[in-house]
Amino acid sequence: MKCHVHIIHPSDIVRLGIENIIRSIPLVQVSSYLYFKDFTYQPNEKNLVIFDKDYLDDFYDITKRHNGKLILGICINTGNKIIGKSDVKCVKLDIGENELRELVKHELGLTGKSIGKVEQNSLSAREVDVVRCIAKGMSNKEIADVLCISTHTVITHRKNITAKLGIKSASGLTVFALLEGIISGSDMSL
Amino acid sequence: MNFESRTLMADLVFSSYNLLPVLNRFGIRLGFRDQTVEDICLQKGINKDFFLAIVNTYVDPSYLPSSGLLEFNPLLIVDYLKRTHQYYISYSIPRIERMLDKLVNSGKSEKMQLISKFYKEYVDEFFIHIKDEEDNLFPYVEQLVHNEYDNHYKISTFEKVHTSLDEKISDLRNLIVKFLQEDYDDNACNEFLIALHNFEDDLKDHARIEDLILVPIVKKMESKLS
Repeated sequence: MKCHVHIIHPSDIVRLGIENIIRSIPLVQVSSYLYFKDFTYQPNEKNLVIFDKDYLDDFYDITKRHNGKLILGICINTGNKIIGKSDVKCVKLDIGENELRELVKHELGLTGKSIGKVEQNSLSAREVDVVRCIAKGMSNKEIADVLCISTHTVITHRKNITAKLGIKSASGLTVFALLEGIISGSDMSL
Repeated sequence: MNFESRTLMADLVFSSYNLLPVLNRFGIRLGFRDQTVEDICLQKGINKDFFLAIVNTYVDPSYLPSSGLLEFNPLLIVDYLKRTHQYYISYSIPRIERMLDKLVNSGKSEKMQLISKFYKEYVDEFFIHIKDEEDNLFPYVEQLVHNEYDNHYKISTFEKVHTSLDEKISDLRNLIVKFLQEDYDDNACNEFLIALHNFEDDLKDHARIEDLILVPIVKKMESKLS
């Protein structure tokens, strides 16, 4: 899903400043307008609108108009009073560049995988069998025949093995198998 | 913040030390005083736009050189890429190899030898990749510059993803960090891993320069000539 960020603010310096920050986010389209009437909703894309607090009512209007269509909003608030309902994120004008970038990424769901995710990383017995075959230099077809499964299943196993170990290449998996003692040097002609 | 012609060359270095070898490829050496990028490019006869496109692409993964910036002679970029290859062959790879040897010798186990063998296979593959670019891709670009259009080729033929090379280097990283349980010298291992990490980053930037600067320029030439 493509992401489109619309920036609507009457002040040139604020609007261009925000635009500049958002443009540095990869894979995001940016449009900017002075007034809300110029806003064009992008179908088939994720729409995020960053707008001045004076446009809050306009924002609610368009979310109503595009009934049920997801439009995310970030409201730029110059004062200290927090306004708006809970479905609009409010940021003050003195927000830092990185903070804004991260917020936009977060709203659009562009934040990468978090580090330190807990995953079950040990291989299953079947996956170990597959690694053993790969280390012996067998093709997917050969592995399927030996283990009596379809090649499709072999490919699925390989995907899961790579996800667990972080090792993709056949030669890398071979080294892994030797390091872990899944096969010994005598099992193969190194 | 992207670098621009008024950026002080010294500040450019302070903001990203891994640009030092990039500057060397342009024949730029230290002792900048307070000269700007523009001053030094003028002095050295370097195309300023080209220089900025390279350093910005290099440090900022999200930087996209605007098409106006891509008006320079494609031979400049070919020349730059050749110098980069030279740097890898004569400096980066041998240096990492020396560190790896030190690490393997500190362990004295057969399993350490496996890591070393894996790296050497990677290097062989890497050299083949470089040779292919030097023997086929670069001459093709030079032909285009001289208005010779060879319809056997298209840049897309060469738009080879560097995946298999990237894969192997990240495999090596994973094998050592996650699965090495041998006896080895800590400092030798740290040195090796940091050097490998820097090399990996450098390669990514190098690939980005090929994809974001060389490919669009060549595509433009192709569409003009075909």
